Amino acid sequence: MSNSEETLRRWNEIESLFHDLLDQPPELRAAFLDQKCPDDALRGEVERLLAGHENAACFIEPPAEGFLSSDLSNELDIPVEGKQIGRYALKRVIASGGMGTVYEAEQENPRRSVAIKVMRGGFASRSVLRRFEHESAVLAHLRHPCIAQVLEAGTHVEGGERRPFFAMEYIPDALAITEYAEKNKLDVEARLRLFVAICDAVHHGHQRGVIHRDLKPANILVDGAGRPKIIDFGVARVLDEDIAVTTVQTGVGQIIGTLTYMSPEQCSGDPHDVDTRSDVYSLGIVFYELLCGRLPYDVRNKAITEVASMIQDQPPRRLSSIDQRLRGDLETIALKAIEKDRDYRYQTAHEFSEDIRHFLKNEPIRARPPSMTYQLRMFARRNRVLVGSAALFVVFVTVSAVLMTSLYFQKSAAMVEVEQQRKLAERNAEAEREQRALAERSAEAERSQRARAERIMAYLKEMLASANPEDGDGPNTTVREVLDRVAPRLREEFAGQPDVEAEMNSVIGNTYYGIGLYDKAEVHGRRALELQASIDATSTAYAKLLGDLAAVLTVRGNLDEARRMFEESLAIRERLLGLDSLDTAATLASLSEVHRLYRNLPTAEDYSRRALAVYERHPDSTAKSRAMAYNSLALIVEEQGQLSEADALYQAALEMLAADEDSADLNGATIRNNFAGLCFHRGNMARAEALFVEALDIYRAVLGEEHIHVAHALNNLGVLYAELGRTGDSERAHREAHRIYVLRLGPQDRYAATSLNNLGSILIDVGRFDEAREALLEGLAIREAIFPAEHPEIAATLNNLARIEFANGNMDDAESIVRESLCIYSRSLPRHHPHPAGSHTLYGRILAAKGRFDEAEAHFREAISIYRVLRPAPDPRIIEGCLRLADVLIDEGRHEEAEDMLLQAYADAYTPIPPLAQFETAFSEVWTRLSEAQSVATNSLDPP
Amino acid sequence: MTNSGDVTQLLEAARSGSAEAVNQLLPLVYDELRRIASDYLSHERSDHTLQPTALVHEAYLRLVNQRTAGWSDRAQFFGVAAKAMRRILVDRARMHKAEKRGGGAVKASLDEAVASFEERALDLVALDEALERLAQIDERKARVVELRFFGGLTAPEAAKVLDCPLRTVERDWTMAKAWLRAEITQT
Repeated sequence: MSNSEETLRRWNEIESLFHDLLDQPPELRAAFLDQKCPDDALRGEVERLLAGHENAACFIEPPAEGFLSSDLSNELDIPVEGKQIGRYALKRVIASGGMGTVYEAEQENPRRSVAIKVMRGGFASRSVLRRFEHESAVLAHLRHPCIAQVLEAGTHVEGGERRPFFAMEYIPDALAITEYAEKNKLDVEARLRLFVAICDAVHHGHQRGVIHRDLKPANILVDGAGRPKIIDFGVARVLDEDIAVTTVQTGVGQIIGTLTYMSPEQCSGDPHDVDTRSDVYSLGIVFYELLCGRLPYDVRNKAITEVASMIQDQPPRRLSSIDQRLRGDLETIALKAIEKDRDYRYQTAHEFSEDIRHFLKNEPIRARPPSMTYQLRMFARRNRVLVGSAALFVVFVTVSAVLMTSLYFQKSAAMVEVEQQRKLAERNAEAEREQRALAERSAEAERSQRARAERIMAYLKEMLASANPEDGDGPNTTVREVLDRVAPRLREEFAGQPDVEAEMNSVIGNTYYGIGLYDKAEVHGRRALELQASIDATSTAYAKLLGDLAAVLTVRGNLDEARRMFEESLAIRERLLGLDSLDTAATLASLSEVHRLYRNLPTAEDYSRRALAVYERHPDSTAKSRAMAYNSLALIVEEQGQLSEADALYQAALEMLAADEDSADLNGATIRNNFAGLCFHRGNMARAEALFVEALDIYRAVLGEEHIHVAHALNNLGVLYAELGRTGDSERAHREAHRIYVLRLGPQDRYAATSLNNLGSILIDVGRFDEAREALLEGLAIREAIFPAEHPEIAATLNNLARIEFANGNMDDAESIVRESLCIYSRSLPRHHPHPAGSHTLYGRILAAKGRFDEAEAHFREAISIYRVLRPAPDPRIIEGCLRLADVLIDEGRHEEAEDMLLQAYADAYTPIPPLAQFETAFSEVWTRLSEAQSVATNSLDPP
Repeated sequence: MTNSGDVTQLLEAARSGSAEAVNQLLPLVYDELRRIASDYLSHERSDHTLQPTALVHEAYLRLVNQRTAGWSDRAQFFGVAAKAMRRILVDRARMHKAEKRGGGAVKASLDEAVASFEERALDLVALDEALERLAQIDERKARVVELRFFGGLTAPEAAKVLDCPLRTVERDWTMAKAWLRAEITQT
């Protein structure tokens, strides 16, 4: 012990002396040691270190700052005058990089200057040399005025080592293209012409099967006479200078310099998965830089990996954000060239240069082609596309599992029976336990406890005996009959036994909840709670009853009371069970759901993540509970616009369930239902349909044909079919959903109203306005009866009614209805909410139809700005708003603003991967209108 | 190829302090490094000498999901990769020595890497042994050398991995180099 302490002390002493010594100028070091080190042994150690230090210069330096660069600087320092490589006499070093050194050299015959690139020693093995010979033969055949000609490739023996070299055309007074353009203050047109020549040269190489792989300004030179020359064409391939290998060898600064020009496919995965379109991308970056002097990604002070992920994930800065004059075609061209997905890029360098030529000739560019087939399809679908906002006023029913984890929900009648028997057995065991525990207590107490247990058992038996699954016409009917029979008798049956009556009410309330009879569930839940409160209002039993009732209230829309109850329940559970118990997590999840329904999304997310954390940590949590926690969080992040994250969460949730054999039940249906909703919003209709149908099948199999969850799934399918234009299917689904809602919940129910509203919406789409009006008015009557006068769902139905008037050309009626709906929204919802935004869009369209373009513009802008606040990512609604706004701006003759708006929408639609391609048709329509309007405007200015 | 999800998840676990995760990472990274090295031997890829640190960086690009990995993951990864690289190189160097004695040296890219150290009069086996001794006296200094020399990390990166001030890493580096140099010269 003391020995090692002694060693450590001594080591520290040596270290501190050593550092102090290094701080001294060399000439003073001996004196320093004399003074500080009377101990000879110590002095010996420190001197040994000093010697080590002086010899360590070229010892174990890491490459970024060490041996590689020092080797290179050595090479730069070597005088080359008089040295010979092959038949070339070296004159000077031009540059030196990771792979080798470039010299200017003199050729005897013909007498000319050449550039010689010699690979560094140590790189060349025999097979490299073989391939080098093969590839350099290909390069020698690459002849183009704008490609620096490879004159010869060979090997040179130096120091017993064979080093490959290239002799290339020497470009006198060469500057990188960007420097050249700056130095000569070229205008945009001159820059474009220079660039077109470069594209042509690259295309020439591509046609001969050579990919450059490392296009960047340093490799695109302009000589003293203004002729562009691409150097190192294909050399990267020969030397295998791909990112992962060489760039890393050349130090961080150079890597980033190279990386910025590399395509996403070069930055990620296999560097060999590179084709000519990767060169198109690099050209696009050079194009961008040449035009505005900046790069599309801000790479300053970024780590290599950060830059790589920016290139792969982030949208580029818009050219026009750097230089306003570059908005329009040039921006569109640049965007297309640097598309992250190569399938959306210009497919060849030639296509790229063609579009620049179009621009130079004032012809329409191809980057957004209004092709004939598009035009035709567009006219056929014109109404549908522009009536796209129908979906704004229909309600998608998403389901959070949180409120359905109640015992009976997941069971069919048969399963309920099994469950009951299990519960009975538990009760039995419990009664026995109680008996034993009570053995020492008074005989009276014992009798009473036993009596209680017996009463419960007897009662449960009676309930079960009367339930005959053969009777009735559906799985739920028998259970319901049993409940209806026993429920009214509880009070007299258990008079004077509040604990037993509370328990029975709880069981029955939960069962009603499970089969979707929420009004009765509420009655029994309240009774149970009331009884329990008289016994003990601080127990975990009370907390459970609070939570059960709050769940019912949440479903019934009584959110304020539900929230208060959940909070009270949470407080009790946290106090009695701790922060990490599964029960506490369940309450956290419920509170999260209530806040989600309130649209307090950040609070909801916070609760949800807390719940999830417990589920992920807790040893007893099941795959099912984790999956459902993911599902809940997914709903919340989805509503906050983080669609990719939501997508990942749903996928993960489904995978978890799939891994857990016992859980392929309603939970799976719930997740599928919600995931389908997300797919729908992201435009993946096929996936959405498959998931909805799967969910529907599960609900039907487990719950029977007429459960409200079957109706929810049908409603959602109806919305999907409407979007797909399958109006017949949609109508059928909504009608069936409505039938079930009425059957289960009565005609005056909010869900019945929802399906009427959605049915009305689809009938509008197919032009059956009278039927639509009838359904909508019926739904409106329900909503007005059950909601306060200024409820947002009333406004939604008003919007649909306004659509009918709009479609019939009754613009005045349409206007007054939509104004009413906006008025309701302004009092019942926050400004930044999707529903009022939908009203603004509709109002804008009505106003535009009335020719009040400036007012229309204001409403479109409001809609867009609301969506922008709500949805951080590019969103279909924003794009739709921009398109409509652009349309109005064209009407107003403000063509430039319209164009700007369209470009912005275009960028929004095509930045995400996959792009929001559903607007393709609408884009070409508005573009066509714009270009027609522009040409009319031009023609009217130019007299024939 | 190893699923980059696994590695990214393990890195996450390692970041939150799971030693188990680090132990699981090491063989993954080790295998990937060896795999990349052997790729370079196949005829499709050139087999010029690889800088070991380039291998480490390439392994990073291949193994780690860069979209989700944060800075700490990166630091963590290089910490593990440095260990793996050290093991690989030193094993190679040992083999190299044995083959030289046996006379039947087979050229392979990693051998060339080892050879390039030899040209610089750097005996990797001796370095490894000296590092072990250094670790006995001062664990952190040995780690600094491992991270910087075998992992190719810069001083600030190493500071991040070791969670200590940059100044400390710089002083450790200077001292460790001097000590190792003296140690290896001596033997």
